[in-house]
Amino acid sequence: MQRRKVAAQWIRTDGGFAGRLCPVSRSRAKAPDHRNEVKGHHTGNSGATRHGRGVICAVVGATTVVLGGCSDLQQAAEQKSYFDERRLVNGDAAKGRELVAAVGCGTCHSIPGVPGANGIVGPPLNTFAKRTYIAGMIPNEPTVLVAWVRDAPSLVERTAMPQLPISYQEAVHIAAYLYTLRK
Amino acid sequence: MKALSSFAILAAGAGVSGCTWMLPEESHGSRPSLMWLQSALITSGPNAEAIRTLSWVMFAGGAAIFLLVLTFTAHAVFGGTRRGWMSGHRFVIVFGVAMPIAALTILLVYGLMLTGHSAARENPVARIEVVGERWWWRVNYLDPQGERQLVSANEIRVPVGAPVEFILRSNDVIHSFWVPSLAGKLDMIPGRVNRYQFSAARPGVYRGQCAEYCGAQHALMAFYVVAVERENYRTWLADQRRPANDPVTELGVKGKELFIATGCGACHTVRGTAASGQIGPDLTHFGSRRSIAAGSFPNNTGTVAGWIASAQHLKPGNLMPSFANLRGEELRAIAEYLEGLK
Repeated sequence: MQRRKVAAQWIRTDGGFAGRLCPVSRSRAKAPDHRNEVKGHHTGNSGATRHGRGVICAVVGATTVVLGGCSDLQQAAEQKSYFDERRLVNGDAAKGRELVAAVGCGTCHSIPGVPGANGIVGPPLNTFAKRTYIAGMIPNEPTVLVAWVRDAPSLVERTAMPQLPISYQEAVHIAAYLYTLRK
Repeated sequence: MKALSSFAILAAGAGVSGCTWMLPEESHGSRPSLMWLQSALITSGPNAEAIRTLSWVMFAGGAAIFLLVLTFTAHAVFGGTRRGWMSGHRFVIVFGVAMPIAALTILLVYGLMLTGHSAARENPVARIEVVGERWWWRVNYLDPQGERQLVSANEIRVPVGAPVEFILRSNDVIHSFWVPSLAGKLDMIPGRVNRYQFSAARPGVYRGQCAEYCGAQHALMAFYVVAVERENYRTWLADQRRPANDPVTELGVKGKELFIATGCGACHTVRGTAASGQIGPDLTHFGSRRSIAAGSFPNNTGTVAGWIASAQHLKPGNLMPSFANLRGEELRAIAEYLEGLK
């Protein structure tokens, strides 16, 4: 329950992206208005009010049940889209793929979409867009990834992944490609 | 002409195998693909040009004969009463015996003349001994007396505009030395020395490949020929003859120690250090080469680290073991040291 309240607050305060991405949350935010509307219509008639209260209870109950039931799914969807939005870099994924092939990342990593890239020295990069941690140590964030592909040892001292001879812009393209790897 | 170059692309593509990477800045013109580095139809120099001409003559001749056969077949099927002349002895003798003999004789004379021309010996400006190994190339630059003045591997530098003599040997099985853009192929046969000369007309990078099946990693036995102006060639040769650079970074210094301590010197030579092994490629100026593992991968700290850690996975059966006993930073240190050997 506590968690749901927090989620609702988050939606209200951060309608910017959560509201945009999640139509369910928008309808939930509207729910109180709907209740007031119902209430307003029936003031002044006690019998009708009692009847109206029943309707209100039913509506509120149903809304709570329906929204409560999908709240976890909804939250998962929100989280997913949160990361989808965050794990984007302003690079050209197609160029990134060519660079991955030209630099020879495949000697250490297996990388979908790059012919011959079936290395076993480092982790496989399939589902990299969904990977939580880089090197099992740093959260997988775009700025971190761009820094990582150029100069891994500056982030994790004991890594086996060396500095690579690529420019910042090339690293951005490579990161863009890695964030297309979902399956 | 456009159709011609499309065909060239197709044909060149068929000639390139196992290429997963490219050298955009070094390709001919702005074509960012390996096939432009290795094609018998995109040539530089008289030896390859003669072969290219022969290829087109054969292609055109084959096409003409094919059309002739189709025409005769159509005539034989649909010719009605006018096809009687095709059933006589004369037809069989002219087109079945005389024409093939004439065509093949002309081709044979042409071919023999071409081979004779390729085998011509002039005074070479450089003599380079290339020894085929499973699966890489030992490259020895010889002085005029035939003594080795420089030992290198997997990349051959030649001066442009003058014939270079290649002395081809093999230490194990039959390999074949082939740089399609520069010359025809010549086998490397154990116990035998084959020689030929060719020249590159323009400075540039050309890719060569073993052209005789020599075992599991035959497809990963390639090399680069770098053609430079004659003056640059002399400078380069002098520069390569000096011993290896000392590492300049802290990591590189550690890498050098580890290189010796890990025993890399049992197989590899780095002149100026204790490493003096003869089994594997000479690494004295390793960092200045374009590729690693005989044209298999581009050369940078990343690929070198990957190669050291998993050589048996990347090129199974080659003589280099996978060094999986190194810690992460140790692996990086050795890779950094090797890349510094410019």
